[in-house]
Amino acid sequence: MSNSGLLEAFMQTRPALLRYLTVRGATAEEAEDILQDIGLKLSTDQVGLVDQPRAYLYRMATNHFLLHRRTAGRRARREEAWVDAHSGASRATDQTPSAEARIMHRQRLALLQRALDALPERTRQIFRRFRIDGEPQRAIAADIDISVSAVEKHLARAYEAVADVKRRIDEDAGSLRSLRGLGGHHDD
Amino acid sequence: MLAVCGVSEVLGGIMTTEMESITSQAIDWHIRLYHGDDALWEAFTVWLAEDDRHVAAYEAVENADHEIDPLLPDVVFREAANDSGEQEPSIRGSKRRWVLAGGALAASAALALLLIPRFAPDRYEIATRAGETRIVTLDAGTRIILNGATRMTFDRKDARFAALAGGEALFHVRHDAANPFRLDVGDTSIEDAGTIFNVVRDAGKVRVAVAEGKVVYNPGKDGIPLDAGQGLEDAGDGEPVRVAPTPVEAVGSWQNRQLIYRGEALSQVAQDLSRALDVRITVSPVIAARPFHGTIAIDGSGAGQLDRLKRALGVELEAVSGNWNMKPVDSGDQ
Repeated sequence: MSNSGLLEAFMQTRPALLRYLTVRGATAEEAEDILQDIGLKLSTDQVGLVDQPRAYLYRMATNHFLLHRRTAGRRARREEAWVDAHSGASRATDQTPSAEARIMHRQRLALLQRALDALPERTRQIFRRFRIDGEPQRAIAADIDISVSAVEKHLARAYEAVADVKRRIDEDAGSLRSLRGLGGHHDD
Repeated sequence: MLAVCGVSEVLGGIMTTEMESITSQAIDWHIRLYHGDDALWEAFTVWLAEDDRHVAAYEAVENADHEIDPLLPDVVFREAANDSGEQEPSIRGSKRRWVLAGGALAASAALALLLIPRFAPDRYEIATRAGETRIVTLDAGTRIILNGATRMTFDRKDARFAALAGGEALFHVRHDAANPFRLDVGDTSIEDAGTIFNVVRDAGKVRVAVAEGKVVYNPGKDGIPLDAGQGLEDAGDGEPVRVAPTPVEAVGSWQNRQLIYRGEALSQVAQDLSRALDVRITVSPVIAARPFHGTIAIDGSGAGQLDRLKRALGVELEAVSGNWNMKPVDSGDQ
């Protein structure tokens, strides 16, 4: 029943959502697919009372968009791996994933751990409450008696560190790929 | 040529700072959108549409945040030092200033360094009230659960150290032979060898019980090794330390609000209950040494709990100036 309000909001917001998705980089076709998915979901799933219906719809559109992008990315990577395997570039493909993934996970974790450890204690705590416990910045601000914008400054600092970690991960992934390429040739 | 180089360098500088500012804007948006309202999402669309670089920068931040998702469950967030955490940044800040000052200020800095150990700025205390428990995480594999009415000291710089001033705690310790975990208990210490163990310090007595792995009590030439399933009681009066088998499932069972006894004295039961409940329980000397067998579930329902305890323990409980005193059931009739 509460969905009818959300569906109505969806009809009204649809053009704005289409524009949002296009700005985010979705093709016209992708954007239409996503909006259709959302319409379908809203008419079948039961959703509780939503306080900010448009924000809710934007968030839904974002999630669907990212899902689209990330599955497309995975598919592309799978095809790439298939080509690698069949061109004899990498024979180890079958048994490497789990061991390699474990090593990669450990390396990434170490990078992130170090980056977060380097933050001031208060920044780290605020980041944990926001990102892990899901507390809104307003609640954190009220609890530790500082302004919302001060909380957001702490968070911005933490996210700069996170963005840095991501850059390092990408660099490592690049060197790992080239290493694997070398290994394949070596085997031959 | 030089002039041209200079200009392009300046331009390069401007472009980097502009990109940096776009990234920090993207971060701000990402943070605010987490719990953003209708208006914020609409404003966000406008910002994105302003510049392609906005879209790319936002995507990068979003991806970075997504990438840490599978990592976050394994990240260790070092526990907040203590309630007066406010002081910490100023201590750190002033130390850094001394280091930077160097040179001319070296002499006074050295003096300041001499003074630092007296304040032990890296040590901090965590205390629990009766009935309260608290978990302290020192590193990825080391977790300490403080029972009620317990005081412990930790060291910000040394995750392999803890001291138990009084009360009870359960230790889950990561083993590192090169850098063993050390727990100070009064004059003695306990060194782990990879382990889950429980330590009580109450009224001068120390009790240790090991659930997993191995610890060494009072390491050194008189060290006493304890294996899983063994416990020890040190009365602290020079009498020989007593080692006895301890059921593994009983070690730290208080953490599940359960106390398991295999013939321990009522005096010990009274101490354990005092920590677990929000009331001090004493025991009349007549029955202090009486052994108790059984499991006590603590459901936290205060006075009603005491009523059930009376029957379970086979004692009378009388209120004496805010405490509860255990005495023999028949003492009133005689």
